[in-house]
Amino acid sequence: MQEKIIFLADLFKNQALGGAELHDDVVIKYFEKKEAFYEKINCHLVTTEYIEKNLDKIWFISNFANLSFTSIALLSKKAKYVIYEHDYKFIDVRNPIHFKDFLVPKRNIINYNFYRNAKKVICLSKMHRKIFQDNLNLENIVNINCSMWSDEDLSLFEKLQHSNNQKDLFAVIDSPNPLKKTKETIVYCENNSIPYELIKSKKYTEFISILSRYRGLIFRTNHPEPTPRVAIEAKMLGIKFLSQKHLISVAHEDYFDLKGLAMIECVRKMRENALKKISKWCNE
Amino acid sequence: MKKKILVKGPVLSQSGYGEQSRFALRALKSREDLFDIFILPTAWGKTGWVWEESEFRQWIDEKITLTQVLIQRKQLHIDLSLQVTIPNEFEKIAPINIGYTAGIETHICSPQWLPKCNDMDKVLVVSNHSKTSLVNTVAQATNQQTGESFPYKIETPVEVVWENTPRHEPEEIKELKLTTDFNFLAVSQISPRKNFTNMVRWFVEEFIDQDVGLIVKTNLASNSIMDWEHLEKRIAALISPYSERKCKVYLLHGDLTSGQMTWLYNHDKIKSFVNIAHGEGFGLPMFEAAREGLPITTIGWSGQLDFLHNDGKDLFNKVDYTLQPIQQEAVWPGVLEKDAMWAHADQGSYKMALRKAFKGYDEMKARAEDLKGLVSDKFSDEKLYELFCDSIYKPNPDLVKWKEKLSFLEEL
Repeated sequence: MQEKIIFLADLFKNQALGGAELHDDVVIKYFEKKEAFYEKINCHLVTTEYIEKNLDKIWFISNFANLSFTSIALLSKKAKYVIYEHDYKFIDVRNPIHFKDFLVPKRNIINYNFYRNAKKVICLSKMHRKIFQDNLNLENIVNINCSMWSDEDLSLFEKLQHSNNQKDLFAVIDSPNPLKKTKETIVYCENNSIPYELIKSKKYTEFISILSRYRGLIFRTNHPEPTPRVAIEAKMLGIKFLSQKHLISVAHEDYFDLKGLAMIECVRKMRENALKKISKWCNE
Repeated sequence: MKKKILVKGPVLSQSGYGEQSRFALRALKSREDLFDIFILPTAWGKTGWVWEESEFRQWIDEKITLTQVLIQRKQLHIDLSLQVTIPNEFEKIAPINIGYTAGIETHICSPQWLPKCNDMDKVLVVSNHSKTSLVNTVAQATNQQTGESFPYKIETPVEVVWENTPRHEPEEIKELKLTTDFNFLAVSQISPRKNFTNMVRWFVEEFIDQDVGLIVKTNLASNSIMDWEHLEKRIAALISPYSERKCKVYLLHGDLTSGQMTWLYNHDKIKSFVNIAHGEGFGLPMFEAAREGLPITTIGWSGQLDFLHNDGKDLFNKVDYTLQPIQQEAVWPGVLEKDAMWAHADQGSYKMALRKAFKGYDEMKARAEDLKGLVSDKFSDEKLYELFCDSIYKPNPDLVKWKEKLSFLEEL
């Protein structure tokens, strides 16, 4: 009989609209559909009593920055859990860019036992997995090949194919997050005489609709992106995507030269495969 | 590629660590092409705050404000931290963390400092003495799993980068009226480490029948009026048994500008600088006096030797000492441990050295002038800033090349 899953994360889609939360939501819906879902809980609300009471469940652990040290230790020792990794929480600064070839000195490695004792550590792409493997050298690190989108979102991308309102400009994401390097991207566009506009929206569908009107997206980042979603989104919209190849993990996946409907279809298939794999890893 | 560096330390306090923090900032500021500087100010005990207005102070204030704004917006992402403090307070707050400490004035440091230093990627110190006391400390640690005991010491690289202060042109202290023609100068807080009581008492005993002065620039903790009131009573009590004395003790208290300190070191009636502290991390006031060519009377141990000793020669008036355990009242768990030792100046030798400084002034002055040239050269801003910045970050050509490769944009 399939064991029930507790989904653990710092935030969920109804609390924040980041890439990790959107991605997690697809997985949660899948578990619900499979009737494998027990409940979801924010990391900061997890107590030792809660853990002890639910040791018969499978713990599916997404972002866990707010999980207490005691909870990490207890889960590590007693629980059956899978870590669904969205960045690099094995590094004290969560960013391997500071170290040549992304090889992190041992003194900067944290949560090693938490990763080691997991049933599986699921990375989001081959490159993401390689960075984990090169640094942690564990047997339980696996990967899917892409982030995930709901059918509803994929329909939106289908509708937006060949948008008639194409502007002969590049879009630059207007973000206060320094990892997204908005300022540096503006400087890059200006130095290279690339016409651009800043775009932003708090509503996901609106943001994608805005993006679809541009010739392309210029995206600079300051860490090796495990996917990033926006790269695939640009490809699904059929617009150009300019970025740093060595920091864009999905750029190293076999399917990355697809675009438009072909990419949408590929993403749909990869999602189904990934969800099956996740289900299998949870129940191994 | 610039490094974003967060300097955490008592940058605005009137204390040794305050001076050290400001030295670090001046050095980093000399290479703003390499460093984006952010400042997180901390307090230092009960010491007062710097009050002089200057361009440098304005620059510090702007950096502090910017840092606070970025922290509140959660937008401060630093490459490395520089933590100016005692090692107990070192913490991992950046991808690369560097501690900059005065170390300890005893022959070994507290075992508690070792793991904290090992948390750092590098430890910078103000003198060879500071380095020696850190790297010579070996604690016995126990492996929690096997119960096996093993020696534990600092593995992190420790580098000597020294420090200095900016020199300002002399500025008169109008209130200071010296009635004695030959005066010693001491600049020291009153604390067990500074050996202040013996320094004053033995001076009075040596010159009880002579018209010689000792100017003490001091305080108990800060430059406040309350501090002055306590201090005056304490000094009066210290010298009251010597009611027949001819010598004078002048008490200087309160905020002085750097220019006023330069004026003191160059005053034509101030002939020697005296210090018999049990140990110094570096000894900034002694350094400043040496830089001005004032003869120095002190012990031949601890941080000051880096600038008072050159090419096998002691360029100061030496006081003998013995290394002995620190006094009970100086024990400060986690900082000054009871089994640590420091120098205890020999009373007779100190008195003889004072006499020698008084009688042999011309010879002392000639030697101090030689030292002045050496100090000005070896500890110049140019040399120290370069050494300091290289110790913090010297771009590794391989890493620079790799990061350039990562930053290249292309259509994917």
